[in-house]
Amino acid sequence: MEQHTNTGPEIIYDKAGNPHEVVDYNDDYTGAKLGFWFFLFTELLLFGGMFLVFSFYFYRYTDNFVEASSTLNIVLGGTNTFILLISTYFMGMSLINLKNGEISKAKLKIIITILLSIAFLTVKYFEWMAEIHHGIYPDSEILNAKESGIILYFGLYFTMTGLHGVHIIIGIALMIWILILMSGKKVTPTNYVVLENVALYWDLVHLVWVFLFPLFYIIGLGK
Amino acid sequence: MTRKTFYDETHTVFGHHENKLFQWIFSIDHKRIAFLYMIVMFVFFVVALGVALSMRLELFFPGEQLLTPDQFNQAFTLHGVIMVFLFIIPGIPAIFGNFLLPLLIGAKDVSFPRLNLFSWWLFLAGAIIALVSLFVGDGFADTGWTFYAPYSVNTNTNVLMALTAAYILGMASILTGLNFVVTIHRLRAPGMDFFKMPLFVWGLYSTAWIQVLATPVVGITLILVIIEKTIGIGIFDPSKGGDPILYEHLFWIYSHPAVYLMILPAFGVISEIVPTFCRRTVFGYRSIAISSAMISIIGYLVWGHHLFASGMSEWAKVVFSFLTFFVSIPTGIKFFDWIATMYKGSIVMATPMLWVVGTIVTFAIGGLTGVVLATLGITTHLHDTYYVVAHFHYAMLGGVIFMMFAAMHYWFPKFFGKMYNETKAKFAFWTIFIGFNLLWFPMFIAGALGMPRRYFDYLPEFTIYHQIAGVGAFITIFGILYMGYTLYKAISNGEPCGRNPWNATTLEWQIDSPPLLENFVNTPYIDFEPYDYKDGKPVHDLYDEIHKGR
Amino acid sequence: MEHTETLTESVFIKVFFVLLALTILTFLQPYLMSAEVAGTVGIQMFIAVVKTFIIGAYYMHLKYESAVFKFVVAIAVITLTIFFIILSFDAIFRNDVNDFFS
Repeated sequence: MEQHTNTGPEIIYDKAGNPHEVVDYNDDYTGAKLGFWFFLFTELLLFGGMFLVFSFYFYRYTDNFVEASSTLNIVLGGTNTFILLISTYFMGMSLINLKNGEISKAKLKIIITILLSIAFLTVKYFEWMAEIHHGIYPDSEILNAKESGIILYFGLYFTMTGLHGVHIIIGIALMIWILILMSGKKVTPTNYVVLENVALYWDLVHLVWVFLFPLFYIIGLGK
Repeated sequence: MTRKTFYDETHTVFGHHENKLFQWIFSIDHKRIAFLYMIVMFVFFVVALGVALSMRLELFFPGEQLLTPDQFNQAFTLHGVIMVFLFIIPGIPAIFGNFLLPLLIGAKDVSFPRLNLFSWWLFLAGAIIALVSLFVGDGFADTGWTFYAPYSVNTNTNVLMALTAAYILGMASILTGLNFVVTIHRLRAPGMDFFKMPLFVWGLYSTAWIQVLATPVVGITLILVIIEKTIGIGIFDPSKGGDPILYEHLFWIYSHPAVYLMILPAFGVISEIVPTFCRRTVFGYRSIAISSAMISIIGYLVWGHHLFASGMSEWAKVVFSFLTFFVSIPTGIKFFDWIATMYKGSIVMATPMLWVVGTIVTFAIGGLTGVVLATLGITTHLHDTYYVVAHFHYAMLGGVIFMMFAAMHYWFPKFFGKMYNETKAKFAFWTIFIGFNLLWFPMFIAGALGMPRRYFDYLPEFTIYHQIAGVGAFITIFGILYMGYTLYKAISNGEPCGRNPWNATTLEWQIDSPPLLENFVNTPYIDFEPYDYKDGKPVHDLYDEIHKGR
Repeated sequence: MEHTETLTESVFIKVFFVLLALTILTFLQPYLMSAEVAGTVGIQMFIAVVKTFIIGAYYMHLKYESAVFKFVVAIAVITLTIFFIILSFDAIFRNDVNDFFS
């Protein structure tokens, strides 16, 4: 009732004679995407846990949080917001280019995304340095002398933007790896699930910032 | 016609190796990976049993015997960390899930075999880091396996290493869960829809969802404690405005679903063994399947019952108490379904069935005492006493580990193609069962009378309970070692048995014992229920269909 | 489970401009309205959720995926929401003296 072929997918037949394709775990586009979505899921809950902690203390120390937020540099933070938004545009476009067979355009867009990410990290570096120069960093004497809410705000600021920054660095590494795979013809216009997954990862990194930015920077804006 | 089994040939991640060891530790075959987990886990299980024995010996008389107070704290931490993170949570899914999941759904492997091997390497790395922390610096953590802040932040014992180990083990768990969910969604044999899957697969499916959903939360919690210890951000430090209860919330948001992680595969094992040894299909297949999903879902909502005595708001306590009562219902449904299956079935009291019946007794006690603890009026009196310790050991040891033992006996013929000595296996069961109850039952009484947990010493009036428990501990451990010895001997000297010694219906029994490397030569089409018995015999025999052409 | 490819370049660019507009709105909002903190947070989070839906549906392709994917994401979001809701029972009422059984 069944056939076992050496090439192509395995087809088996039911009692009525209808053919059914057996999914090959070595070549499963949907499975690869589904698996990556589950991984993104875990990232969502990882950052979600951090936002739980933030909300808890924001509720408890609302005035302190607003006050501390107003001392952040909105220009630098805002610049980063636009850099990240534009980078997701280029990342997504690179996938569209690849699917259309325009491999060099796709590679160029990935390179632009890498450069934008490095710009993001540079801006973040300057932001952090500004705080540190004012003596504001975890467990510093100046910070410990401030009110509880301010201490916690900056503790969360460094932790959450730090964790986000680590994910940007990992993203850059992934993008470099994708470029290598594309050069080696392992990722092609017909076999592009790895690039699709990296683009999804990058969208998640952006999504985290979409929530991070207003909660840290906007709540104290104009106050 | 002898075919090569998975012991004879394998696929490895780095290409061909001559060295037999490399063929095992770099193998991407789910069956070999199951063995890799089994070996590491059993070693650590024995270590944790040894630590437990040392605690029982210390507590045999009041006063200090062989452990100092600090060493005692390290002992219960070590026992908890090994048992929870290295043994019970990976537990049944890592060994039996890995080996059997593809077999049960008619697949040739899991969706991501190399990720599967990577999970094991992460598991090994976490285990080694935990082990190393025993011997360096101030020794193993002394915080309890729960690592409560702020003590975990301030103590000088190797908490950082323990947290790192736990984090890595969590990653291994997440990747395995991810693998299993995608496998179940994508690789079921054609025709097998969700309600034709064996119930063990339903158990693994619900478990895998919890692994992916809950573990990241404890991941971030552990990272936060690591950051707190290293750079002092203050989120769990009251002097900086931090809230230690928030730590407890975050920790238990994972660790309560974690206990469902432990028990759902065990329930799945029961659901496999009961129809086989009652020679009929399971009663209420759909209700068992759906109750697995319900336990998985409701289990997320009850974590606060670990915080009843910690200073939460009254409102929170009422909410969590109500939800905790609610979560016992799906479990109750399963118990009634299994007992209904046994009613008027032709029960064969082979060793796996004996373990199941034993578990139904012990887990019922564990579960019911949990409901007692969820009652707000009583819980303050019983919190942090031996009552709690007895409760969770009845549930974890008497539920999960007993079912691991049952699974070991049920699928032993499939793993090795041999059968163990039935009399010796039964003797081991009775020894363990009697020893277990001697060990833990007195603790319910001692706890209700006020004996606190994690205490190095106690008032003289509690001595008798500790001594009965001590005797029980020895008997239990003797039984476990005897059972291990019986099974171990059977690997080489056991009676060869065919591919289906239990005359069961599910797919793993329709292929050779031990299985071929690719499991199924031809994938079967599944258009029937998993436990199709007629007059006590399986209705379908797919062996020839699966092996046609070989 | 294959999906038809309908995310075109033009849709992609249009979505970008929508996101850009929403982002600019997040900057202007505190100056357009003198809301209390709770109001600001509420509106900012609302904008963030709208952006999430748009990014998820288009950039992350969810609109064009099969039901399984949408289900997976929905479960993650619902779980997280539930954690927030239940935790708030403790966060908000922690220092209240409730004597239910007096």
